[in-house]
Amino acid sequence: MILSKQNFPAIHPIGDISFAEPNSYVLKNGIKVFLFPGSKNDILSVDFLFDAGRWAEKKPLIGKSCSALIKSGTHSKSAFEMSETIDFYGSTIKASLGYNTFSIQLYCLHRYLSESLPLLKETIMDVVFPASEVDLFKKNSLSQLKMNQEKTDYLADMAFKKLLFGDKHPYGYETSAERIEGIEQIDIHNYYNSQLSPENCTILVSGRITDKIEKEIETFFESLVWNKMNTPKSETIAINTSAEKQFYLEKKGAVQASLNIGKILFNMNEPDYPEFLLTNTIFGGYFGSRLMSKIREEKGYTYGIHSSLQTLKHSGIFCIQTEIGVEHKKNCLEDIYNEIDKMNTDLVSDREIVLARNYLLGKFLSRIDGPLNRAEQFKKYYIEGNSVSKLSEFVEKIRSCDAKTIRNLSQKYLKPNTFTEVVVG
Amino acid sequence: MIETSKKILKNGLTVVHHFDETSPFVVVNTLYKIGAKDEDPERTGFAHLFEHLMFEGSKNSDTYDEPLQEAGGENNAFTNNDYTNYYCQVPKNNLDVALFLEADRMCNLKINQRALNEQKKVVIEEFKEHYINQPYGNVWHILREMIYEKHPYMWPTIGKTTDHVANATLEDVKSFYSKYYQPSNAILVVGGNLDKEFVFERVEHFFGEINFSVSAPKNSITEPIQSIPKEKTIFADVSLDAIFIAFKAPDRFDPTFFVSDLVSDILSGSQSSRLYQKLVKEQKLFVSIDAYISASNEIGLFCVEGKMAPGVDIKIAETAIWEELELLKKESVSFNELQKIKNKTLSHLNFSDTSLMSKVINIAYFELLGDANLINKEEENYLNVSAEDILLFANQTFQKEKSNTLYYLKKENDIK
Repeated sequence: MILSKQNFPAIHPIGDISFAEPNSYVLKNGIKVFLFPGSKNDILSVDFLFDAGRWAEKKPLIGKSCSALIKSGTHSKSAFEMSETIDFYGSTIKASLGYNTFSIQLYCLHRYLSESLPLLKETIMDVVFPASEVDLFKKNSLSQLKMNQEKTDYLADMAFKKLLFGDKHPYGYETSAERIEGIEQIDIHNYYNSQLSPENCTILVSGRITDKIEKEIETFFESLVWNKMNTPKSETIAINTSAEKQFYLEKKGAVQASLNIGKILFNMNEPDYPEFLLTNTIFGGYFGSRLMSKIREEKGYTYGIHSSLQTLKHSGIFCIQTEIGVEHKKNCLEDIYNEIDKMNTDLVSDREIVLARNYLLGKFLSRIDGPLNRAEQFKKYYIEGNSVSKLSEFVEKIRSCDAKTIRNLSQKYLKPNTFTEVVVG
Repeated sequence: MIETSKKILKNGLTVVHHFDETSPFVVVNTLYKIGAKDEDPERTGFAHLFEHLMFEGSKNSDTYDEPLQEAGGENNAFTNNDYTNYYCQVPKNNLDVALFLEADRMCNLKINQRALNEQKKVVIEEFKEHYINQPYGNVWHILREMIYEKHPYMWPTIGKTTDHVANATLEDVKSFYSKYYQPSNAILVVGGNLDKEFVFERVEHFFGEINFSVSAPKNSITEPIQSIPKEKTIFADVSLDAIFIAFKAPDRFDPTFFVSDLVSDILSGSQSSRLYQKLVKEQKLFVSIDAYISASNEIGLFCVEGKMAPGVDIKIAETAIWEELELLKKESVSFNELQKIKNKTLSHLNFSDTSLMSKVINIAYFELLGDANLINKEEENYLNVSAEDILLFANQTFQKEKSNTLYYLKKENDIK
């Protein structure tokens, strides 16, 4: 065939997008287990997800210390022995801290599952956090902090969140040298012992799950008995948004400035969430967005500019983020606010809606492609207290969203006088 | 086992099909055998700049991105020293859209001054973001130039300087396009829940009529063997002193490539690895330390890089790294340690092709190496490495006279 405009293929609409509830069961100790089978390779991921995170800290940085030191040694193994044994089987055990979650995850091949599970158990129940390991961690964290402080994007992100939530809030506090110095072994112990408890725990298993594997892990889960004191967490922590809405920091020698502009918004539980997601996609959420077209493609001020809504268990952060040549700072800010103004005044075109909507739906489909992705996606819904069936609801709302709704939402949420503006560089 | 089938069209385009029934998507990956190594030394960064222009629309589609987004797809591309790779993913009923767009930009790219001017600015900002405004951002500009005397690996993909990018002309763009963006210089891989016959038929339909003119020219440059150690010291606005020690190493076609990869895993990459355990945990000389290979198609390199703990004498830190390298030359690794590294690699290989996208990108890369089926040989190639191979590799590679050392120091410090 000769390529010509007339021969351009028909573009087919995106079919059904649904996320079936995963199979699950409840263990004797009350822990819920969710299964995400389907991989072709003999791989498995077992994720112990704790409702904890920064939110459950009694003191800043303790959750992070606990996750960083999760392989620092147990009653029977030194840090080296622990790592060496896990590594020997080619397995990975890693802890990660979220704002509201603490997760301990094992990745392994089927053939080493039996050897890896006891190591996972030790990691969940038996870590001792030796003083020498805590000291080294603190020292290296101080060096790491210094390195981070040379980066304009790091400084801008820190300042932005601090202005939005306040320096005492888990979503906003800053990592400082004083806080690193203040980390104590006992704090980490207390966090580990109180937060990584069965009451806080949910288990997600994904990968290739054969009948044999399913039995083996169920037997393993049933054998887990650990008692930890569970201290209830507060449902709300006071947010202390700074009255100061602008923060500018000049950095000597910087050739680019980092910009963060935005505000506290909402999570997936807000009824406007799906339509706002589409609104944001058009505004700055993908490569074809208005911000990208204007500021990267037309003006060439930046390699990339994005706006996003990060949803959290108790809140959400809307943020426009970019790195721009220092000489373009002023013009870039002007352009951003002009684009907001346009979103709030004119109706977006039908073409823009079609492109952004289909891009977004394709993204939804891609996020649930494959068992490991499905487990990750499930987590996001689960943390905010939602069932994955909500996805179909979102899809429907996005499919039927029109230009007027988009303008209304833009007017409602993209108000420049409610934004906090941070520029570093 | 990853199964693939191959067909070569009359115009020379290599087409590879991979069947995967688990995904609702189809992935189309187009690899062009053109990288930064093929650039004119006075016009570096061009292959990458050109990659940006491939998204500026073609004769029969004003933009590349829009129809693809409308089809529910996503796409991206990357350039390295050896090749340029474009990939996109669409729901499988929109395969034709992806193929049309790829075919059209293979032969009908719109080339204009406006797009060139814009993308030059964008790339210069990208240059600043990743290589100037980052602490240690220019390390590979310096190191590559130290290590390679003749070979075009001496400059990074982004280019030697922003001036090279700024000076690119429309004529350069046109001649580059006609020289390198030929069907015979490309590998097209299609993966998804679609039959082989169907895919080959659709590809023939869209790409079959593309004309083929001349074969892309190939550079072949020999690099002298290094016989004296090279050193360089740089002072910059960083908070930690750093040291980089680099050696030339096997290329991707060399059987000892797999040995070099395992050696880098013995040294770093996990908490039980040697450099981390001894130099970060026990001796507390470094805050972080890493060893890695470049895995390039021609002369590769092996690098050890460490960020030093405050107050540590750089000569002591350097000696400590050398002690570990010397140990690899003297003592053969134990059965257990070798098994550990192999198990890790096995895990890595199994986890790395869980998504269709990464699988298809990998298939294209192995076809570039000569045969897509080589992807299934990887495991065996790593498992065959012996302790003697490692000893031999270490002795051939970690020699003082073949080393390139960069001291990247905090301003106001000096080597004691």
